[in-house]
Amino acid sequence: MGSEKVETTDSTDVRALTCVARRSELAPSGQLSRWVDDHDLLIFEHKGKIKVLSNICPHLGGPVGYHKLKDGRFTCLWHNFQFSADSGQCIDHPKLCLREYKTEVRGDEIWVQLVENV
Amino acid sequence: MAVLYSEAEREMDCPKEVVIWNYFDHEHVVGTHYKNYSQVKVLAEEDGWCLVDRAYKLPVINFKTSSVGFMHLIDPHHIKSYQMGKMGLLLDQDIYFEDLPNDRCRVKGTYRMEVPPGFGLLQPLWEKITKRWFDLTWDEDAPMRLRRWKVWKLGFRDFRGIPYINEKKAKPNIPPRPYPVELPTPKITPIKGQGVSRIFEKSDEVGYSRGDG
Repeated sequence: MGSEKVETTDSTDVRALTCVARRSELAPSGQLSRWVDDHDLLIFEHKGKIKVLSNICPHLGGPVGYHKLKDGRFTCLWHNFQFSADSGQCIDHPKLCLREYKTEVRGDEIWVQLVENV
Repeated sequence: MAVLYSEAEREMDCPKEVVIWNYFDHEHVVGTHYKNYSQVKVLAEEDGWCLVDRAYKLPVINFKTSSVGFMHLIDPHHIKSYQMGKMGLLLDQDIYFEDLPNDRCRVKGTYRMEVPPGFGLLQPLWEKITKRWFDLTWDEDAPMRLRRWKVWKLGFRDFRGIPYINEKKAKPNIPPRPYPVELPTPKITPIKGQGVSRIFEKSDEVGYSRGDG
């Protein structure tokens, strides 16, 4: 993971899924963030479900997942903008929203579709 | 009068313009530096200068205080700052920026304060506090600057994010673009009116992304 060569379902299709983490890596905080192919991914478990949001705050680019998820909200380190873990919506400024990545959990592996549109 | 003086210097793996942005991005002090800063308010600002009220805790002596500071980008290599604290003493600070090869820079800060005769004996404590302050804030600012530079190179636009990520498309070829110093920095928080406060002083930190910096 991380800087290692990433594993995809089909190396000829840019829309292929990419394995981005193992579920076991989420312990103990229930979340992690890492760069994969120039996407900064916030991978977390919330309400019994694995979700992946963009970790890049659309305000000025800060790390949304720096602090541990609290009360269903992520708080960006840099300027304290808060985002709903359910929707990725910014609570302080509703025009700002984090991308949610299509995600599949296969056993212990978490797979994400980085590219959806060609 | 006696003079207390110290200086500190470090290098950054990003252009000086990113560091200057960081100095003038006042809103981050209650975010990135939430452990030490509790409140910040911009009293006035224009192209290249600002007047800012900050409340914070000094390291070493663990002293909570506040100051009003005037910060001026004199030229692309020099910020001049004056800060007046509650005790009526004026901190005279210079920050110098030097370009280094490969999009790097060197930053040097100087701290100078005139104090009543006899208080020159505080020079060792002065050096300890100011250098500790420089290191503390540097260690919290450095990953911010590196990340800002990284997302900028990926095409980041303020208040919008990175287009290829938002549009769910493959990453295009992104030509290099210079990092502009645009002051005052655009703001959408109430920092210029009522000011902004930290929302917590303790946190369970997970940290920056693996691959940042």
